Amino acid sequence: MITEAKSEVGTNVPSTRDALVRRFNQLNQAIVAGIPETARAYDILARHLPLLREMQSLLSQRPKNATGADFTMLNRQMEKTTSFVMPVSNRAQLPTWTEWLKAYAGAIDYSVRHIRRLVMGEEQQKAVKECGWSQSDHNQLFRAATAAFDLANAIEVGPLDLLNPDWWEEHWKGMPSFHQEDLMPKGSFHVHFESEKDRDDFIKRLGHYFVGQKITPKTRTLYYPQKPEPTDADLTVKGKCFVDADFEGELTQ
Amino acid sequence: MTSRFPIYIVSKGRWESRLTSKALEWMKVPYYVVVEEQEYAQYAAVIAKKKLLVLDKKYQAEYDTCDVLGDRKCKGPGPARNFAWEHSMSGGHTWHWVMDDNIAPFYRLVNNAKIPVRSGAIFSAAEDFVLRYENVAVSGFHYDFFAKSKQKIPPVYLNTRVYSCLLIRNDIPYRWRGRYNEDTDLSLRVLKDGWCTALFLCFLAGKARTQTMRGGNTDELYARGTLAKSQMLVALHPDVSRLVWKFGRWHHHVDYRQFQKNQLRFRQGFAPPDGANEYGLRLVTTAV
Repeated sequence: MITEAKSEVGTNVPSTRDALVRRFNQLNQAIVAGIPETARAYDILARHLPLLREMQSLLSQRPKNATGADFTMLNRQMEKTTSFVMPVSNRAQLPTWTEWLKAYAGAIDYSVRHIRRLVMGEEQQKAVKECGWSQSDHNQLFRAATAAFDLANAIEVGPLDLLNPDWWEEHWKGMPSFHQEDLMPKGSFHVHFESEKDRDDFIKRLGHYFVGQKITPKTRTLYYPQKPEPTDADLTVKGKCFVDADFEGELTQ
Repeated sequence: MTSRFPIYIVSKGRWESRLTSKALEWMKVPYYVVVEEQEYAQYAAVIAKKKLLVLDKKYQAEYDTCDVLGDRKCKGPGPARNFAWEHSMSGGHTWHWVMDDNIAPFYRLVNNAKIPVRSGAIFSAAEDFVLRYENVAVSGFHYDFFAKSKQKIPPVYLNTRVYSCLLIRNDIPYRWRGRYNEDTDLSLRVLKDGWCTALFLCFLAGKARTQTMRGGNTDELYARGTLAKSQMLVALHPDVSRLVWKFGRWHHHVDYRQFQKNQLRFRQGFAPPDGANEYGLRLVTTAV
């Protein structure tokens, strides 16, 4: 423990008698001298680490009423940053550890948190922050971002004819005729039953509307008004085919 | 009427079924079948020898499988497809068709109906369509089961993957590569370089679903499922593809939306004619 000597508040003459102030000035001098003008060098931080730990320990002994808020580490002279040290004269001028560390971090272009972690010997935690968003929120954000990219692309590319369902008509001139209707159902919904009895009752009541159509528990879809649903197989014409003038087969009609 | 560019069927282990070969015979369309040397005798017993091409082993030895397995696993249809590509170029052709060996029949989709076609006119029409443009590199017929009869769809999709039944421009600077998904890989490389692809829905290839028919790649490549197949594509094109599990097996999902910006460009001086051209096709009811 470094004991405090007689207070020398009010004088600008650096104290040589106060061991704490003397040691601060020595450390500060050693550290500041090691900071290059434009610094982001990991080895500087590594070399300073023992000194930083001592500085933290040292500054924890500063008086609570000290007013070192104006502390600056790198001083400017003639528009040029120089690394000379302004010695403090007494304990009251000592910066807090946070103030000093903030100045140091700024001088070597590292974050305070990173240096503090090194000083404290803490391992870097790669923790995922809980942002409070649900999975659904995230998915919606992704969808919104994707839509935004698509919109940006659309603006960049100009009018996209592929977005027009009839884009092909101009390009298809002179090709074999093509016509395709939309035969898909225009609306559908599921009906859920809590029991087989409810299902059977529902089927019985449906019989009122679908006269002559067989509805069983295995029925999956119905058309209303009643009509047979065209399946893809139904639409594949059997027995017919396209031929050209070279065709030599037998025609049935 | 038939195609102006040569048609190649890449076949392996399917001399008995030979669906595509039978379909083209039915349509009276000339074709070649590329087979491996050890299966030549079986194919020669059922297909005219002048239609058979024996795969030069050099194409297998030099093939880029995009993995480190080398010769320990079947290399897929890529080597034979590259062989067909070079064969068509050596014949002075500017495009060529290359097809899988499990297609039958070929359909025309019109008025919400898929109708078998017994003519090479659909190949000729597809060729005329792509020749209108200066920047279509790969084209082909879609699978019949992907073109839903009830849906309002265009006669052709642009800038998506083309597979199984392809019409390829010979002077593009690409060749087949990869042990799996080589169709999707080729389409993606073409699209990324700004070319267009055209996938016809008005002309369809009736095709057995992948992994439902013996022979071909089914037995050797997919013996351990589809994970490696999908992983390879994701490794080759991580910017547009990702791995997904659906329908009880691994799939790859590729996002083609960014390629919508690849715009068709007519060849200089071309003007689309008015009206339709049926290429001599007429609908009949046949005995067969």
